[in-house]
Amino acid sequence: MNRTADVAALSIGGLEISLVQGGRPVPVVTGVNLSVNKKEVLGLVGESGSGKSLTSLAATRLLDPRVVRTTAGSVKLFGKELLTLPEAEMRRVRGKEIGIIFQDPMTSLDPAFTIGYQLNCGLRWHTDLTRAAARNRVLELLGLVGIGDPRRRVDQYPHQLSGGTRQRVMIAMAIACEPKVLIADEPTTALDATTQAQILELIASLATTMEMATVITTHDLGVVADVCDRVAVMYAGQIVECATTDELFYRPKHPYTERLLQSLPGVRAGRLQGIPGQPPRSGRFPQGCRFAPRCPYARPGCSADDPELTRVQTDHAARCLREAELELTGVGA
Amino acid sequence: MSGVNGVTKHAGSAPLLTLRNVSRRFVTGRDFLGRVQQSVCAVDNVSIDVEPGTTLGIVGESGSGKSTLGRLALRMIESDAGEIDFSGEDLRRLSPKDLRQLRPQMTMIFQDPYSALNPRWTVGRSIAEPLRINGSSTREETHSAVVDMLARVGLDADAMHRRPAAFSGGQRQRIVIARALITRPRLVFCDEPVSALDVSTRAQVIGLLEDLQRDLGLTYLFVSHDLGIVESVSDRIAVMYLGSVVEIGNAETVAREFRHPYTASLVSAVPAPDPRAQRVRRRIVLSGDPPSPVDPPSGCTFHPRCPLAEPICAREKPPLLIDAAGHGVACHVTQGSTDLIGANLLARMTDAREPGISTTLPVRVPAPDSAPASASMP
Ligand SMILES: Nc1ncnc2c1ncn2[C@@H]1O[C@H](COP(=O)(O)OP(=O)(O)OP(=O)(O)O)[C@@H](O)[C@H]1O
Ligand SMILES: Nc1ncnc2c1ncn2[C@@H]1O[C@H](COP(=O)(O)OP(=O)(O)O)[C@@H](O)[C@H]1O
Ligand code: SF4
Ligand code: SF4
Ligand SMILES: [Mg+2]
Ligand SMILES: [Mg+2]
Repeated sequence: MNRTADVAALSIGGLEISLVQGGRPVPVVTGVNLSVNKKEVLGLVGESGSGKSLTSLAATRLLDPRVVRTTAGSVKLFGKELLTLPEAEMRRVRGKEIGIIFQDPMTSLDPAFTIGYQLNCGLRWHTDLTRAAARNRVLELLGLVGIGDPRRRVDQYPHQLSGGTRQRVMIAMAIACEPKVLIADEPTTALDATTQAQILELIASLATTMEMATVITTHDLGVVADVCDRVAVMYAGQIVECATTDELFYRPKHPYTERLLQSLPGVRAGRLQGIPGQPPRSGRFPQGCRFAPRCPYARPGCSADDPELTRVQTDHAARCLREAELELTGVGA
Repeated sequence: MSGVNGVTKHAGSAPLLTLRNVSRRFVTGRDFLGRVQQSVCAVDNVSIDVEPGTTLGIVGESGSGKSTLGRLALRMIESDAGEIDFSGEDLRRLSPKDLRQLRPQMTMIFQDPYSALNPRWTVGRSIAEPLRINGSSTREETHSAVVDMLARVGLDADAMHRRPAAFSGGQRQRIVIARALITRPRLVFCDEPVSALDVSTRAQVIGLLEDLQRDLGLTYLFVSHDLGIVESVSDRIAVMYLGSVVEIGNAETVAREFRHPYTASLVSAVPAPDPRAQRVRRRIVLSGDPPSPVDPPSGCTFHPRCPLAEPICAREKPPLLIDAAGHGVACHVTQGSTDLIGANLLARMTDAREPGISTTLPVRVPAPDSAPASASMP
């Protein structure tokens, strides 16, 4: 292995994000540690409110500082710290070196302009392509993301496109400058099952062909089973488990992951399991293990001590005090 | 239009709901040249039966007509043609007064628990509203009905005094369910009731719907675009494509021994939550969007996307033929076949795809030359 391969494309360490509206900052995301290598797809999985979008926004420094700020930690792009970068330089990183796909395609596409115009603007901001060259590149990009008949589509407005095609346009925008890192925040949550499968395969195949490091966030573990190399599970603002995809599905080491897997249709015959109770409201996390109020294996000790994210195998870490003694059930068991 | 109706022949109790050859068109105005009137056939000659106490799942892509079918069945919108029978009454012929009397027996649960509740009303008022519209209950009756319903959906009685903002998505969906069931309906149309919810909450809400069905003897029309969810809740499943039912049958049969190529593609899109199984499984990723319902393809409307299509498919619409076991398929090619079933059908479809059309990524890079001039590009 050469030296550059040792440096992760994107690495996030000790990330803490806090709400800063009025009074003392309230941490809502704490202890996020992640790293993604070139050509690797990482799934960031968690219930809504667990902090997936905040983490994605913090990594690209798109948080609104009047409301929510990164209060600790580091975000490195090939070893270069991004959190201290001057804003002007960060603007060049965004779009050019890190491509971003946001949760809701309708809010990220401007309804007043054709998709061609919007793609073109992004391209010419980051590159010195001529107008004609940029237009050709736009057509090429639309083809690359599987949009048939790009010459016609390029002059259409967002509302004329189906949800799936709109999401393809978002992907085209994100990869326009051949970024090294791609962050896709719930890219398929608003889409139906067939379209979801199409979009995920598209992202995974682009990640390989363009050699990007990719982070896909989702609340549905089932959808990442075949597209991700590794999966990180988030609960109440923390990573609670991180492992290679097979490890995580077949040998989960955190009770929350086990319960999530049991919530999926098709994992076992009969009734879906679900997880009783609700995740804690942001910033109002319980003492000790944050999953304890919903955990079927909780012991009194679990609410006393904060579990650390502990390595249990090469490339498998879990945040559970009883990890060593529990026999958890994965899929296919 | 097919000459054969989807009449199920299998034995069972008298259906609670029967649709016969029901169709509905929507006028969507004029085309962009301002000339001809455009219309969409949202539901095209559909026949279904739903037995009391069972769940009929309806799956299909966005725009396939699932919601329209449910709304027709409850006569929330009018049908253009066909018969709709609810508990022996022909809904289409019912007078407004009789329909009003029947209304409380048919209710609906919507997809979005966030917009379904009035944010300014207390939860108690929202839940009691259908009783108030009915006008047949006293204050005390209403109060005890609300308390009872809250307990049934797993919420504390004091939830009644709070407003929707105080509740999470899953809790709100419980409130929506309580409101839908307060009139003690017999038929409940659940339109994507869990699509907006997290996976773990989804399983809770589905479990609740199943418990309530058992306790209250409810009949469900359950719409979802996710075949995995539909399979786990349904007794029977109808698969819709561009307004038509293309396959119908027992849930197990449709999900495992499916015979329609479109069902096969839906099955292959269901995420198998098992990485190894998922990797060996070959997905049929349908290329492109579903065709426009304004101008549906000729013959079998699935033919432009179907890997098994033969010349006849573009000419004639295949009828939905239902066998003795109640399994119906509308496909020229698979109908008579003894081996184009389930996994075999899937394998045949992926093989058929190999030459020419990619099963994964349709990469088509246009030639960079001579792009037509465009006014909207800077
Ligand atoms: N009120 C209406 N006016 C015009 N067209 C309509 C109307 N309601 C539905 N349609 C059209 O009828 C077709 C079927 O719509 P429907 O809402 O039943 O689909 P669906 O299967 O429920 O889709 P989704 O999964 O997106 O909810 C679509 O093409 C839709 O655009
Ligand atoms: N702008 C904001 N103001 C207040 N709270 C916020 C804001 N953005 C996010 N939060 C809170 O932070 C938590 C994490 O949010 P988010 O990252 O959006 O979760 P996810 O993407 O996993 O659903 C949530 O509880 C959310 O309510
Ligand atoms: S630390 Fe205790 S409560 Fe937390 S996940 Fe482990 S067993 Fe459950
Ligand atoms: S009738 Fe022909 S086009 Fe339609 S599903 Fe069957 S094989 Fe495919
Ligand atoms: Mg989010
Ligand atoms: Mg609908």
